[in-house]
Amino acid sequence: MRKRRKKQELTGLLFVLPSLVGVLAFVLAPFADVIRRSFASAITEEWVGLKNYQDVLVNNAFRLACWNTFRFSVICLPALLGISLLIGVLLQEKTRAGEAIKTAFLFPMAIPVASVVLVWRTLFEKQGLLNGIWNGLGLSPVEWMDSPTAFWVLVGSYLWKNLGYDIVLWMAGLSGISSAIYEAARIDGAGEWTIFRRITLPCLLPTLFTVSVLSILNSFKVFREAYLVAGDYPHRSMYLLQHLFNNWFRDLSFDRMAAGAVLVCLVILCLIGIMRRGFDKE
Amino acid sequence: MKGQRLRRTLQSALALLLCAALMFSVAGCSQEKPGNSNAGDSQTGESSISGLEETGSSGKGYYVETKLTMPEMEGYVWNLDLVDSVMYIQGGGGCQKSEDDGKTWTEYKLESPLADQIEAEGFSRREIIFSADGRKIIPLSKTVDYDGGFYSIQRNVVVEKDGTERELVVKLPVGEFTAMPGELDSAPAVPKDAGDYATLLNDLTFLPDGSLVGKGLSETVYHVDMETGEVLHTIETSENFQYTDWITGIATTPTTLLLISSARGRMIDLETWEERTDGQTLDEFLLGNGEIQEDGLVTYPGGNEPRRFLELFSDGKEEAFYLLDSNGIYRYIPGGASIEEIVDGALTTFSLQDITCQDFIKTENNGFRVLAATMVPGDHTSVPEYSILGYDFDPNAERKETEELKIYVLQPANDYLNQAAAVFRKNQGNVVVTIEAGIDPDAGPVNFSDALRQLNTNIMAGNGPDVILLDMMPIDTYRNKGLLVDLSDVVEQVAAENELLRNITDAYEKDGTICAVPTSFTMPIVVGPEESLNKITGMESLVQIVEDLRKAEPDIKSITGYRMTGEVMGSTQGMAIPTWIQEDGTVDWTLVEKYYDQVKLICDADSNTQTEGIRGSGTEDDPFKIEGYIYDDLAIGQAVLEKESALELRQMRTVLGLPSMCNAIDKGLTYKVLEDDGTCGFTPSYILGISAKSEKIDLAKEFVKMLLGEEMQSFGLKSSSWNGSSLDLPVNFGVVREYFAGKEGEAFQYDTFVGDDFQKVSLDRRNPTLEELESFLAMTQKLNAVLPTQDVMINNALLPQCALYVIGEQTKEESLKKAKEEIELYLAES
Repeated sequence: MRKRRKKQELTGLLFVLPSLVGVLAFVLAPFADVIRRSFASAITEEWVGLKNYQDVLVNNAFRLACWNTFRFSVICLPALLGISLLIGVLLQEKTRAGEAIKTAFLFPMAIPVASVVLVWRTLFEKQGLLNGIWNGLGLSPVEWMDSPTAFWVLVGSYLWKNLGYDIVLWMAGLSGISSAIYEAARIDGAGEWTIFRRITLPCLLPTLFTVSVLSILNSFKVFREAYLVAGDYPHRSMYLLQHLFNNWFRDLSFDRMAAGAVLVCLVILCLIGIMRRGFDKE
Repeated sequence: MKGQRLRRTLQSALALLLCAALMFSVAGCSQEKPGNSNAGDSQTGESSISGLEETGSSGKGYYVETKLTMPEMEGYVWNLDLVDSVMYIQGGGGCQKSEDDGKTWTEYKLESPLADQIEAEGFSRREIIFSADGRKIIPLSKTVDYDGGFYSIQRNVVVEKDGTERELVVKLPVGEFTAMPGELDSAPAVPKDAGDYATLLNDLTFLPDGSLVGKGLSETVYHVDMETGEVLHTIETSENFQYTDWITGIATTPTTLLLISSARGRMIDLETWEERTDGQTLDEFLLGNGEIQEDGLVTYPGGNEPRRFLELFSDGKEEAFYLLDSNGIYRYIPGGASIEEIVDGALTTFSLQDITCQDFIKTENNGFRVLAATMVPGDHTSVPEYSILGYDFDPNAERKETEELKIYVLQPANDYLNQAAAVFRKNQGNVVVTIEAGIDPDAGPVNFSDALRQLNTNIMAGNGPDVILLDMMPIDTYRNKGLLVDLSDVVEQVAAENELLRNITDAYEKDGTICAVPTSFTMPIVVGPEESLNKITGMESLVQIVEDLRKAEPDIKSITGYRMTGEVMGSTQGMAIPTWIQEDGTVDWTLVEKYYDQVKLICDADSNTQTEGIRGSGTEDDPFKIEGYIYDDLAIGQAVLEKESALELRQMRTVLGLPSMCNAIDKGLTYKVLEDDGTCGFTPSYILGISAKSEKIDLAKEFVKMLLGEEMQSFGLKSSSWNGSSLDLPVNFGVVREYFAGKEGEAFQYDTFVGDDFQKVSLDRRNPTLEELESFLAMTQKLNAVLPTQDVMINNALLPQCALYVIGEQTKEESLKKAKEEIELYLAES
């Protein structure tokens, strides 16, 4: 019996082994190297202790990038989760129009980044479409990408791009809630708001965890658009951590980059840990 | 139970399979081992030339290069011939022959009273055409002026083996009688009374049957009967290839006539006189990476032609053609599926950028003799220096293991770097020099930052360059990161034997180490009347003098000699920028603002009604266009002498401009380096650094030494020109002295072209005297501040914003704000 169990465990291990090797080779081992580099100088790889961490923590560009990234996440994530949930609930009723709207929300995901950037430029350049309209209205032109408005352009772009994806995730969660529960609540005289608060939201908690984590990860992808539009040095308000890491890479500052990456990773791990704990409690 | 066991076994096998697949994929990601490169492949394997067997790049046996005795000949040299073991060399200065394979030479003159008689009528002898059976042809030609143009007439004297002679009148069709257009728009037909000789047949070649082929002016090839002069066959240029069929070589085997151009080869079957269709391999070889456009023109990616010259040879007996280009010597059997490389040009003199091979022959011992001309790049007027190179197979010659030295440059390599690579390869013998360009237009749009990231990735992956050309790169960052090796020992060694400008070579010295060595530089100078120049002591006085001169001379086109804001900044930044960056690495914005104001004042004062206050773009409609001189680095001071501008602010890039400065001095002008309160900025160029990650640091140091040494500095000096494709002012001042040695103070004329219609003008020039050279040296030694132009980030933020302010597209505050935001962010990262 023990022999059989051992054999079964071995078979299971063999099935897991390919992906385990993959994760080890392509994720964990490189990350271990990043941790090692965070304690060493960039080229000579001499041990420097915590110097790189000190440099990173006092670096003004790092602070600015952290603040912008934090501000971006704090604004974007609740907005994205809230709006997408609202639209998801509204689209739950399977009507033809609903299907069409859902497809329309997914459309931005299919548009290549280069095209999005082109649209950005057409819209937000100083001589762009939006300033044309502004001029038509008798207003003075705005430097959309060269003033604090750049941050809000970035927020808008993130919401526009990810809304459809989150809607689909919410709708998947919503479809998992049995209609019998809703019917029972209605018979008991519960109103729509109460049903949403007492039934829909609690049942969507497992989905919320997935959607939140995916949205956080997607929020890092907005860098592509920002980089392609404004290059290495965009307006201060949209200077994100990826800009900094990208520029550090250009300047051969692998040591700082490694220390910065470890710090960011720790923050994300903590965040996910706290979320996990919170959801587990719920 | 049995089924379950089977399932488990299958499961285990599947899991193992997946695991193995993953392992293999990981292994597949490993780097290719060095040494697998195909460098040197060409020398491996068995040669198809009978009796020659090569044993590989590191084994025994290869073609060894030797330099043969070159006979003394005046003027241009045309070609080499080999007839009955006797080598002939012909040129404008006559013909010489050698019966001992180029060891000794004697003058050879083909006695021909008939040719002498025709010569007396004003004709000139061209190269003698030898046939295998001892017959010779002496073509004689002269040009006749006609209707604003000219046409050529040619007469041919045939000297038989027994010495008898006769004239051969080649009867070409009327269409071939075309005059060269000269100053006319199109070529007129030659008048009918021009006579039978009104043509010119080039590349005359005897066929195995004793008849003759040659090409006319319209690239049509004629097959001519040697007895009657009648045209037997005509090979016309096809319509689709009218531009590509510019025939560069004609040769024949016993069965096939081959005509080659830069785009294709045309093989004619000598039995049927029909074109063969099995020459795709040859076509592909000739076209290389070129592309034939609809109009027949051939274009190459980035404009880089795969070869600098192309020659063809066949002895008429062997069923094979030999091709020689800057990449080597090749053998092609008509209709064959491959072209065999016999000699790898990369390891020979061919690879040198200033070498052009004009002709070659194959000896009876399967060796090759090549007539090579050494030319100064860009100079097509001076008579080159000729040499005869020999390539003979030495079965016992041992080749060392080939090493690769990688050079990284941001911009694609130019003639100077290619020459450096070729010379180094030739000197070292066993080193392959690879030049990698970070921003290669052929490889797609890559910006500066992306190129640096790519370089960094390679460095960290252990695949980085050995030598880095640090122009426009963040040198300070690289030094601080420990990427650059200390080069002070290299500089000391070169300085011990050379007159180096140590203020330039040691520009990047810090704490006793030199992490980067500039091999050339440019400096901002101002040329004008002495009384004006004496008043210029810095930016403020420059602004004042420009304003005063404008008031004094309201109608002169320009005061500074510039037409664009960027150019004004290009000259004046040397006085200002070095003071902008403070010791803590931050920017002093008060000084930047002051500079913005000063540039604006200069540009505003410089403008007059012709410019309407706005600097032009330099396009055709630009009202502020100063043609010609100002952009010619060899015409310093000419714009002032021609009263086109009151002063000339410019970057001095080449010492070849010194004669123009001396001429300006003779005519009452003077020059000085622009400085501000002792700050005298210069822009270093061709800055070399060695990667600390390199495994060939000693070899890389040798390369740096070579670039600082006389040979390459001299090459750079001679080939320096306005288009920036070569060295700027050399840091090895010895080569400047050497260049003017023996001709100090000598006056001469310099021809240049000015204006929209490229009008030719001859300008007076004088070489500097010894005192003037010393004074120039003293001026270069005053340079004391490196312009941070290599910090592209700061440059890109500050200077364009200044230009936008000066031309009125932005307010000063807007310009400063934008520059400030970007630079502060950039500086905050470090």
